[in-house]
Amino acid sequence: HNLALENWILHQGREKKLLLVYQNKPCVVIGRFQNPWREANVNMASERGIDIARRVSGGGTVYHDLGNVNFSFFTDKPSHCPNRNLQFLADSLNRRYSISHLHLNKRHDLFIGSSKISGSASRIIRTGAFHHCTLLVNSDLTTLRGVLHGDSTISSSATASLSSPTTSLSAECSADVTTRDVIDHVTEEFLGAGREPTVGLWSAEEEQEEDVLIVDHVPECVLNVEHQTFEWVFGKSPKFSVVVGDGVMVHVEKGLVCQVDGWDHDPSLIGTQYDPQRLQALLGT
Amino acid sequence: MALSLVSRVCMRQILSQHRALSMYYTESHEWVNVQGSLGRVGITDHAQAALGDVVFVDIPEVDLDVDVGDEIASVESVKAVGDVASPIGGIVVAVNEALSDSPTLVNSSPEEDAWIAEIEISDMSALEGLMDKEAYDKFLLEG
Repeated sequence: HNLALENWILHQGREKKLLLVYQNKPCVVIGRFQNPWREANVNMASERGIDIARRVSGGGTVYHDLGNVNFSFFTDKPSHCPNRNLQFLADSLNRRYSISHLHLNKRHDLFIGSSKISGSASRIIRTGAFHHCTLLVNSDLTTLRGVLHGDSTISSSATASLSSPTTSLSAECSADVTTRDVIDHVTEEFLGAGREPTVGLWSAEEEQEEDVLIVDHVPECVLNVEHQTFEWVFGKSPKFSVVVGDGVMVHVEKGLVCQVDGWDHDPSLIGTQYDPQRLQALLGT
Repeated sequence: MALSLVSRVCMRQILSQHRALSMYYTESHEWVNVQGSLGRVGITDHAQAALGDVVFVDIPEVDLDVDVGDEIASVESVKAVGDVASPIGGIVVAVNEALSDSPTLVNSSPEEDAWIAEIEISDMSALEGLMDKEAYDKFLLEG
């Protein structure tokens, strides 16, 4: 729902800069042209009630939970500058927590030493742009590492994630770091002295002048029902092939099985949603 | 009968000038190369340089009906996902499948090999709002 809000704000054509801050309950978020089966353990996600979402920006797959904070910097097209945003974020965190070895790389990631704490992506349209990034404050890194482990045998032109070892702020800092504290500090620095962020209800009708919005509610009219469908989350995967059983190759387009080689299968299989577990069960493997 | 080298060079110049005359550009850095009632669409060298290394091109489907300004493709680069807006309206009659396997064609040959779609133009008057090469180059200089 927060992703729907981001997309909605982008299409409003705002001229003033906006920093949106939001958190999600556990979910895997894949990039616009990625393959969820290749990037994540879809089974494990399903078993644990972890949603899978596809965002409109590019980049790789990330895991969100309530220990992660998302920052979304909205600007007009000429002012779009992820480097500036990340430098601001890094400086801000350093001022508060005095983290040594906190640095940016060329891929717009934030690292502490050789472990990643933040990944970025951007979306640019004619009337504006946003750059958003995650920040692992005190996320469940065990679940993160487990669920971001997909089927690497899948053959596809979909964009691949670049895997990095991860860590969180709380794991690296001696201070007691909470998401609340991080949000308060960063938004205060963004706004400057004497100004308060808006928290809570975002009204779709009012002209929003505020520079920082901390989301706690997304109104119905902003929700993008289309983005909650199988067709969007799984179906937008570029076509791919994968070996399922012994010498059995499955070709998938728009998330649906379109061809199977090496198996005398039931014709009704064609056109069904790709489901590796079900296929393996049918094959008896 | 073999043409002399001089004649061949002249032919090539004439053909490329002919191509140049039929090239039109938008302020959002798309181009359309018009031959008869067909228009081939892509993004300009300026656009690909701004995008950086292209990692994926989401090409449209054949038979798609587009209006002027509609999103006809998305391009993901290492920096961002951006849109390609169609400079013309009509029906998509061909798409460049090569971009699925080689998205970096957009960086290496943005105004030739990395054409995205070919459109049967429904209304040629859409071209009147576009720039020719000279106007586009001037537009780029003016920043």
